[in-house]
Amino acid sequence: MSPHEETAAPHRSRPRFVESIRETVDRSDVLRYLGYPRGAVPHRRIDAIIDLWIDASEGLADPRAVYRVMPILSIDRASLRVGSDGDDVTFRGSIGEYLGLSRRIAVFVATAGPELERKATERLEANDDCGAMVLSAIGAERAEAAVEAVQDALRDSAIADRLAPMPPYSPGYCGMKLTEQRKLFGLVDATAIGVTLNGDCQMHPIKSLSGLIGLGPADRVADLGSACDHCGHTTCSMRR
Amino acid sequence: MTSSQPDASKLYEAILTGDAPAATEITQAAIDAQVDPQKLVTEQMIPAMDEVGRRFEQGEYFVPELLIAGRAMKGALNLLRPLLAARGVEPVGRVVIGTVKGDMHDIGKGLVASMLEGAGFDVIDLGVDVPAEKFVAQAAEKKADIIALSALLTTTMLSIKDVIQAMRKNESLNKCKVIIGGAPVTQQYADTVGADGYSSNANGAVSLARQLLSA
Repeated sequence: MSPHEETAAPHRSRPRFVESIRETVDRSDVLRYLGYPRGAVPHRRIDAIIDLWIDASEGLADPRAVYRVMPILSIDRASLRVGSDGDDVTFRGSIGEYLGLSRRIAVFVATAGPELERKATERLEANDDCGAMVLSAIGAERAEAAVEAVQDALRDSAIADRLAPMPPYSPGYCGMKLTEQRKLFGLVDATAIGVTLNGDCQMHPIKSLSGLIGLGPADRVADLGSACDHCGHTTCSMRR
Repeated sequence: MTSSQPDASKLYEAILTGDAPAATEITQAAIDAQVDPQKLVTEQMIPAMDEVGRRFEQGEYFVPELLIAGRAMKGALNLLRPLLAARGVEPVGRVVIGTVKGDMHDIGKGLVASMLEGAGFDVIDLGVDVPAEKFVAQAAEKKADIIALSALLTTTMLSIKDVIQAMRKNESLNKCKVIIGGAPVTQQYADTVGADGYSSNANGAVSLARQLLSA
């Protein structure tokens, strides 16, 4: 299947909103975002703070995601052209390394919503740095849960074509400049989920994630492992 | 210690375990009982924060534990500060700290500020999104020994250089040192922009500040 054949599937280009996002906060992920290595046990006072804010986050988090599956016009080591002739966008970065297997590309924006961030700021202003940090970690977990939901939706929709989603590749990471955000935001209406981009290409709410997810041959994607398997920071506390 | 005096060693424990209400209560009781505030700082508070730092280095404590210990220490110090000032007790050194222009990240900078305070430094926290001119003006006005700069983004860490260039032009800051840190910052970057020191964590920043002032 050549990338050009994908242009015959215009329905795949409609923006889609993720409807089913895991509601339960993954506590082990929150600990990971707080910098605890696997197996480390927080002080009981920290445990209580984490429990307090995980409970409260139910009414504060509003995870959402929007994505759009795009046909690939061309892809090589350093560039990826998506869209249709005359209405195309070219992303630059370490494309071959992270998206080389792709047959289609999903462009996504996901967010934890604004309220966790507002509460974190409130805690900071009250000199409760730890509460703010825990809320920030919960926000990161909620945004990741929204991305997981995008990947689940992509997996379900691509399975008939024997394709599967690859790990997300995001502007600002691994050789893709942060300024590529502008192109990405031009392809999906992130304001529909409350996410905006400022002049420095930073997203608001801060606990938002954006990127490209390649859809590649399922049998070969399975061998790729996680993004962490490709990262050289072997002692990173964020490692899965 | 007489039977009417509070057990000041409990302040050590309260800070070590991040029990802010207990730290404040014990400190107030010690003040009421006329305990020497300088002794509270040097014999209880600074050793407690040193132990917090040691546990962090050993992988027994992590950033959240540092934050709650710092908060407990700060609560106690706020009560003692006026008494120390009245006695003419000098801080270990004076640090102007902030997150550079364009960067709104507060937690890492706040943690370093707390740890420095816990080590006996007088810390002037300028907050986040601080322009170079403000760092320089405040450092000159407060006669700072050290300017501590934080940046969490690759895009904003470039502002570190602006601050260093601006301060090097100010003759009154000839002896002032600059230390930098934040997720994207490295020793190599510190060398490139002419910082006097770099630390990857809050505890290391305290050691670095002490080292620079003793040099």
